[in-house]
Amino acid sequence: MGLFNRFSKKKVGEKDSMKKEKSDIEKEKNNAEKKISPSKCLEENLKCMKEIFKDCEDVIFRDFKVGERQSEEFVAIQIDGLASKDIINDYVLEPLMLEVRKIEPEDVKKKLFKITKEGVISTIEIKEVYDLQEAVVNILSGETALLVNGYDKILIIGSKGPPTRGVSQAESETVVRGPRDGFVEVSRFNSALIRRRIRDPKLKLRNMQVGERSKTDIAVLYIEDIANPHLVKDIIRKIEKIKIDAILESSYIEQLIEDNHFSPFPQMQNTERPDAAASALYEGRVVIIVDNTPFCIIAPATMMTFLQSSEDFYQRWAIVSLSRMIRYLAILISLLGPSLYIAIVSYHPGLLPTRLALYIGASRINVPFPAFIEAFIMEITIELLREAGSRMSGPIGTTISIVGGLVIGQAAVEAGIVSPLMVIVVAVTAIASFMIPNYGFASAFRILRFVVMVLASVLGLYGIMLGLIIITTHLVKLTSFGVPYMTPFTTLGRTISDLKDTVIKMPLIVMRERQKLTRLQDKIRLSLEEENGNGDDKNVRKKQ
Amino acid sequence: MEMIKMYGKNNKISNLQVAFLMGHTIIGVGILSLPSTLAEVLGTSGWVAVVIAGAIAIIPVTMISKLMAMYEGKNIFEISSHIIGRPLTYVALTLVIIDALGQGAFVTRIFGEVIKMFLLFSTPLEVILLTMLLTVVYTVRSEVEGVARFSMIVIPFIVIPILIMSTVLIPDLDFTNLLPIFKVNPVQIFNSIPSIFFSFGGIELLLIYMYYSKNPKSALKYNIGVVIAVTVLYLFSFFISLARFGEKGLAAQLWPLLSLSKAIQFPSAFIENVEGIIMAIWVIIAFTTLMSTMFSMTVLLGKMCKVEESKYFTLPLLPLIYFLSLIPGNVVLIYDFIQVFTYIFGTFALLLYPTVLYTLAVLKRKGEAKKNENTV
Repeated sequence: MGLFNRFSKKKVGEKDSMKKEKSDIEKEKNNAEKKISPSKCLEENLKCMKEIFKDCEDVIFRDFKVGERQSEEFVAIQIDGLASKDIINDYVLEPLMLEVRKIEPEDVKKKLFKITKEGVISTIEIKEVYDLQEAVVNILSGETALLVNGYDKILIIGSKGPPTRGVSQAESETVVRGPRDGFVEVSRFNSALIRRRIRDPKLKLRNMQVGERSKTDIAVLYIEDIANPHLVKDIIRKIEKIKIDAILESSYIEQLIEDNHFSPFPQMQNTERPDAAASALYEGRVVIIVDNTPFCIIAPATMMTFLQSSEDFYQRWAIVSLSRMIRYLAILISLLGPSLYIAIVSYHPGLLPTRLALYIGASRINVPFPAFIEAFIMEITIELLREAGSRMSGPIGTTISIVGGLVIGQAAVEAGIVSPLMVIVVAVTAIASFMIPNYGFASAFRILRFVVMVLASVLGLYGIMLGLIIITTHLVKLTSFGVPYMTPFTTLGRTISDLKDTVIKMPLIVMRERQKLTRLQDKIRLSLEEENGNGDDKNVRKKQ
Repeated sequence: MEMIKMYGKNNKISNLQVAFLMGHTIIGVGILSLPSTLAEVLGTSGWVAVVIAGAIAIIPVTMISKLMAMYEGKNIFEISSHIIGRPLTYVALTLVIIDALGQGAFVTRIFGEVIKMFLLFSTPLEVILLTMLLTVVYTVRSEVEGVARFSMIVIPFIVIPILIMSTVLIPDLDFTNLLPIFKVNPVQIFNSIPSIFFSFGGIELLLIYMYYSKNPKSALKYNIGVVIAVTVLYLFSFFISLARFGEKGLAAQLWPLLSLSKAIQFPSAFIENVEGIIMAIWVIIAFTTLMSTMFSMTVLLGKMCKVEESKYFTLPLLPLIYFLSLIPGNVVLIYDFIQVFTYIFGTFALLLYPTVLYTLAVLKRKGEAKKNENTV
């Protein structure tokens, strides 16, 4: 009967090694109870800390004495380079060492901790912790820990001053018209860049730390009364379940929370621009900011969103509609270019006009290979050139691309290995694949191009149609956090108004409602002052 | 907020998708040879038979829609067991499966023959059939949501090229071939209705699709709309083929619509011979029909064997359809074979079974209502 288990919908519980089970989360909670409590004696605490940070020679231990009679001992711990020395010098060490002398010694002795925390240290971010492990984590994030003799709690002073570059233009997404700031590697600056554009207290930010050893800061942002609460809960739950030792980039998060791991298509968008992230938030989607990377994730994503670029909203509708149509055409060319050449030349020369067929026949007279070998040779050459160009940066990279593109192509034609039409087809295909705004989405079509080429070489035009059918089926099955990937093309019911933004983009005045792909709460984006017959306002924002 | 589960599979599709799925099933292969059959039997007044057949086809559609709306949320197996008892249901559903099997095999074989004749001349027939069936299996395994979304998304790719090509054809058409229009011979028409009616075969699969509809009560208008659209499409193709070839010429053709494609010529455009595009669309049309029949077969088998995940039945059905489609020796034998087949199984599945179910269901409801009245 075990053979038939798979017929019943109850699936045998699978243990995903990268995900925490409920039992694991409980175990962690139990483990967390076994904290290391600091003792009241400073020496012991200091010894413990030095033990933990043994051989970490960039940790600074500053012991100093406070009070008129230099009687109280304090130790400040921070990491060189991560924490800002100025804050500690000016606002912690100076007041403690100099100002406290002015307070009566008896008061100081009794209420030392209270005075220190509430009266002396003049930084804005300060908190108490009761666990040495937590203090260690805070020190490693760039804060400064202050150990006080005689108290079993530790003060954590906010002093993060990590090395970072300034806000500059996003290199991967440039626009002609639009803001030129891009995200940086510090997640707090990134969320600040988004906050500037959404001055609404309903923009909620939820902090999490993911990664056993990296403890990377993840921030999940959403606008509370627009986004669907189930979507937000789903995303937060999935992130909390991640169990991995390090999160180095946002793509780790992306790969760990997506619905379909084996699909070549990305199911979340990523962007380096704050205005793209803000516009996604206004549409009821969720933004995930990951520390140490300027790329933040936007979920959920559909095919329609991958073919939009931020510039679309800043230019007029006619030119945007034209570029959208060209993008859709570019997908088809990128996928089918070489395959159509193979199919028509090898199997169906009768499809071409007579003159073109004769021309192709004449140009291929000296070519020793059949059409599909020719196509594969050229395609693989282009892929090699592309990889080589991306390895070498700067002038060498551009030289290689030019040399490869022009010289090798020309030489191959003159050597008689490929026909000139093949070179044109391959070049146009490569250019078309750069027209797709999202790199991950374009890469999927790069891969599928080879699959369709194989099918075309075996079965001609019929093979191309089969390949298209299989790809369409796959796309149609795909979901991104429950939202079907091909919305609004496949569901003409609820989401038909989303069609205003797909192939043709209607002017802003017509797009009154938000994108409906995620069952939003607040549906009206734009309201004009109109009066209906009674003199009441039509199109008033209704909270649903 | 309404509690329709949005995330994850909830296996419900919209009414429009149900109607389109049924439409795809009907426009399978009948459209290829329908004009020539009509011209052969009835001459220029063949359109009357189409209209009458379409009108008659609305009856089973209405019955099935109303039946499924009455038993909202129950699948055909449960409904049928409720009305005529379980053993008879097994028999009836087996007959429906065999009917779908026959139609599927027919579509596959005709499709293979057409591709071999127009597109891939030296590829073995078996390869064409096998690759098509494997692709269908891949799509059917993604269950209702995938199947329904696929059928929605291919519609513009079928409709728009056909419209463009029809407009290009117009200079070649000779509309005097349509005359005399009203030369109607009632007896002849009456005799030919049965065979014309089976060009609408595929309606019975609505029994299976309506279960997945989110709102069965309002499905009726969509379904009838699709039947009317299919009738209009058949009429359209008949008139155009008739105008192009004339009555006798049309009767002599095997697949008039494909011969039409040879006549389309975009003046000095990039593609002179649009046969390739017509063939590409043809692949999609046959694919959707096959997908639909195979999907209903797997679902029925799954329901009869009481399992939840019926997608595992898809692969075993593949060799069955494959060998069945290879039985007839040549194209003529295929059409003979399908005539006999539809007379037996088609009548049952399309006419007898829905009628019996519907009338018994209505009687049962009336009986229960009377009982409730008496007890109250």
